[in-house]
Amino acid sequence: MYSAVRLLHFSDGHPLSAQFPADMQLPHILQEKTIAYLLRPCTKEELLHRQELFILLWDDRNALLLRELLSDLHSLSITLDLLSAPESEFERLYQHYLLLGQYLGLCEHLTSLSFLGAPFLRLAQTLSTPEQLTFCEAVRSAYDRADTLFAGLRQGILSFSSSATLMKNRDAKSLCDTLCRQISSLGISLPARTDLRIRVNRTLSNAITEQYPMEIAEITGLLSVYPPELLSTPLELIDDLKFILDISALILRGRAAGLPVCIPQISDHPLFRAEAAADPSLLAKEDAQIVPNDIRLEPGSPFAFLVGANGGGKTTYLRTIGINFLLFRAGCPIFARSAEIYPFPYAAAHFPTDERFSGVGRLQDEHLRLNSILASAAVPSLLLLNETFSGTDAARGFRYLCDTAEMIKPTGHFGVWVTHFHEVTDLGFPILTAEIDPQDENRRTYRITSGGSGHSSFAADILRKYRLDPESLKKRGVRNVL
Amino acid sequence: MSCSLLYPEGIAPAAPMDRRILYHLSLDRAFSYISSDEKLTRRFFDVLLQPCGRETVLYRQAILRDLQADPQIFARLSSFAKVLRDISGDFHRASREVSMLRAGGAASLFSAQNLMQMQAKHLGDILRLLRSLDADLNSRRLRAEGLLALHRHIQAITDSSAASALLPLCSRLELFKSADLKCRYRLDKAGRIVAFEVVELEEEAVLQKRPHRIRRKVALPEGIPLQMTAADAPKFDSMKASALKEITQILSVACRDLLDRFAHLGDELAFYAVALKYIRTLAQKGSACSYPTFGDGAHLEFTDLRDLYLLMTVSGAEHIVPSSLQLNDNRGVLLYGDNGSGKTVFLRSVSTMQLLGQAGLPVPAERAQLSCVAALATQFSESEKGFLEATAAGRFEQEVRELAAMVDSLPAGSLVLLNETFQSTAYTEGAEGLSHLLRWFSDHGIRWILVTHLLQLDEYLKDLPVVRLHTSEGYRIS
Repeated sequence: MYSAVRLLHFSDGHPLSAQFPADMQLPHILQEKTIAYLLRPCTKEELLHRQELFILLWDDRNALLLRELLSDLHSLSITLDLLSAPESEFERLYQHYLLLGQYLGLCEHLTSLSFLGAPFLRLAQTLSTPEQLTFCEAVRSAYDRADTLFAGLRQGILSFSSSATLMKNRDAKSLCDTLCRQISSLGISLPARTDLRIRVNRTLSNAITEQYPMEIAEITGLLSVYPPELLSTPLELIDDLKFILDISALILRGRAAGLPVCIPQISDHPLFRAEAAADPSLLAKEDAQIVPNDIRLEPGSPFAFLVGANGGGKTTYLRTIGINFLLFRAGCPIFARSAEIYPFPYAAAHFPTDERFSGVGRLQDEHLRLNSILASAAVPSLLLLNETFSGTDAARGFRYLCDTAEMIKPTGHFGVWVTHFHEVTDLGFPILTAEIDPQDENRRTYRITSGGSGHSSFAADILRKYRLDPESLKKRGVRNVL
Repeated sequence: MSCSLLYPEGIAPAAPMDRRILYHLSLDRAFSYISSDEKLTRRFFDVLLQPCGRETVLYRQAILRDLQADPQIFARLSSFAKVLRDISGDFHRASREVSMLRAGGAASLFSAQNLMQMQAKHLGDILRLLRSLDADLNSRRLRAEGLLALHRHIQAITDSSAASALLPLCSRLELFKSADLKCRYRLDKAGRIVAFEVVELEEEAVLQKRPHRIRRKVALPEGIPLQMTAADAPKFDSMKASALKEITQILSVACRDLLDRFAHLGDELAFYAVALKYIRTLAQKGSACSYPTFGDGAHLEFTDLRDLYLLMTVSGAEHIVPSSLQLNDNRGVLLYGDNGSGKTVFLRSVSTMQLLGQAGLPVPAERAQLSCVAALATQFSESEKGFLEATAAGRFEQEVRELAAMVDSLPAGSLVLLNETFQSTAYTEGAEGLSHLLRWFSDHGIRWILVTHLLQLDEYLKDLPVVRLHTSEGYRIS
């Protein structure tokens, strides 16, 4: 039988830090295992194979085929669980027989999906080797014979007069059937009968085994050739499938919300260029206004500072870069109208964290994390820094920022640093600004543009909205405490 | 699927009229003499207040004629309805227990067996009751379409082969013991038990059909004894209980269906019960009693009509002055006369005749020819409403409100009966206001009869075709 073949392949590089997707708020829109897949590197060839698969999955009929496949795999998993703790010997045999049928069904199903690109083609080829075909034929033969034998065991009569006995099935009239027939002919509608779903208990199992010894012996012999562990290899596909379907669902959700989606080109040299890119984490927020923005991190201007109004979309911009990079790197479609991206071998984010009271102050913690990032960042890497060094006084914070910027400049790292230190405009880096509506300084456009001085963070109007402005605070009384 | 004694097939009850009509026409007082059973009378009035079409009127008249001709028919039907009501009560009590039946254990098996036996008994009782009624009705001379339809409805059940097969089956189930249970299990493709049903082996079925044969012990083929574990015994009891419950549920559905088909009979017979008492009372009073005819066109013709309430209060009809009228069109009727000259009594008797006649009942007149009205409405001058009920409205405003409601709701073809309306204000103004309303009624196909002292109406309505009547000495109307 075939040895384990995965749908998706990964390369040997280091996975990205788990903190990266957490900073990107990915747990709000993707499952934990999906995120783990996004962190693992893959080769360029694998990247292209996955892109091809996701293009095919834009047709919901194909996605439905995969959902059905996943459902079949879950059924196999349930059968194996029941096999590990059967209620009776009869149930054990029966579940084992079912396992053979499910295994055969899955092999056929997987083979039929070869049109879905390289990952499935590989799998189909493995399942089509002469050895595997011979194996499946043998399993089929055993399954069919067991099916025939079980057919005779599926009905029986229990008599409870004096002592309980099991008789072989014979002609007997069901009282319910007789009643239903007579009553229906009076023009009375009867509700549909509902099936029970009761497991065969030990007592009945022993009686069946005793009643049909030859059949049970033959079934046992047939099934013993194919132990459960031999037939459980398809389960290894579950995680891969879940990843594919979770990403597909996210793409579908984004498209339904009007977000642009594309398969980005893979750049051969360091570059991050995207037109009308959007942050899909905002899909988790009801009534969020999602405004796409362009991203242009190119040789010559690989690293930029982003300044501007509070609540203007700066952190969102960082997430747009980070999330779409993770998706691209894993061979998934991204949320942009078009894009060309380099598969940076390393990416990291430095976002504010909660003070942990672990003996290290916030500023020191920031230094430690940043140093760790820079030490791990092979050139070129993608770095996303969010208000780093804002947890100290202005002079010191800006000094640390300048020192770090000096370190980054010659390295050729790509990235964006969000900051409220508006003096960064003098450091010689490209500047991005979160725009304010020129007609109404209280209105955010969520557009990120190049250039701009960004001298104000427009914090005062936000304070007024929540009656924390000075005039509102004067009118507000204090709560009377007696 | 049910058969009504009040409405022919395909005809549904109309929306009921305002209950105050009963008060205005003193029907509540009149019928208190006829029937002391308030519940029965209330049901009678419920039917009375739903206006009927000609087809329904004739339908009921025919049934009443049959019930009058053979009193045993009514007695038999009432007895049937009563026994059915008793069975229904027992059945619903048992049904509540079925729904509370919990799975698990010998106690639940015992309960399941008892409930199955009870529901089998109920179904058997219903079938036997229907057969008995069928046999009785076969011996009666039925002419009314309603009674014939009911009999056919019953025969559709009792004459069927299904009923013949069900009766002995129900009898067997009544005596069923779970200790003799045989059940067939069936497994699905996943190896789970999907069905566990009670069966009868063929040999036993043959013996059932030929009960007079000398029974020989049926030798069952050998089976494998079950080695019951302590854990599994309750599971089997639970499965047996569910098998019995399945049969019980089928029996319950059948019982409920059959009970529902005839559940309405009791209420419908209440109408005829009071109707028959009414007819007997008229006879006791020596009053004329005739079934009005209903023709096309706008008829209001009657000969020697007597007021029902007055009839109830005197010893004999000879003490009541009858009235007669011949109207073959839709003109409104103005009735003038001195106080105490019989105007209100006339209005009341005409209204009562219309109401009772259109409900399919005979009327206290020598003859009557009427037309079906779409609705009947009355406005009788009342005392000012109680302090809490009234807003700032006085009597006049109350009357205006009532008339406005009529204008809003009455369809063409209705009959409006007005007794001294708008006399609670200046007569000239009242007359002028009322004249517009009466003209509106006439223009919209609504017939009206107005008892009034507003003589000014003559002037206001001089161009409107109306019938003018006057009371004269001796309570005569002309």
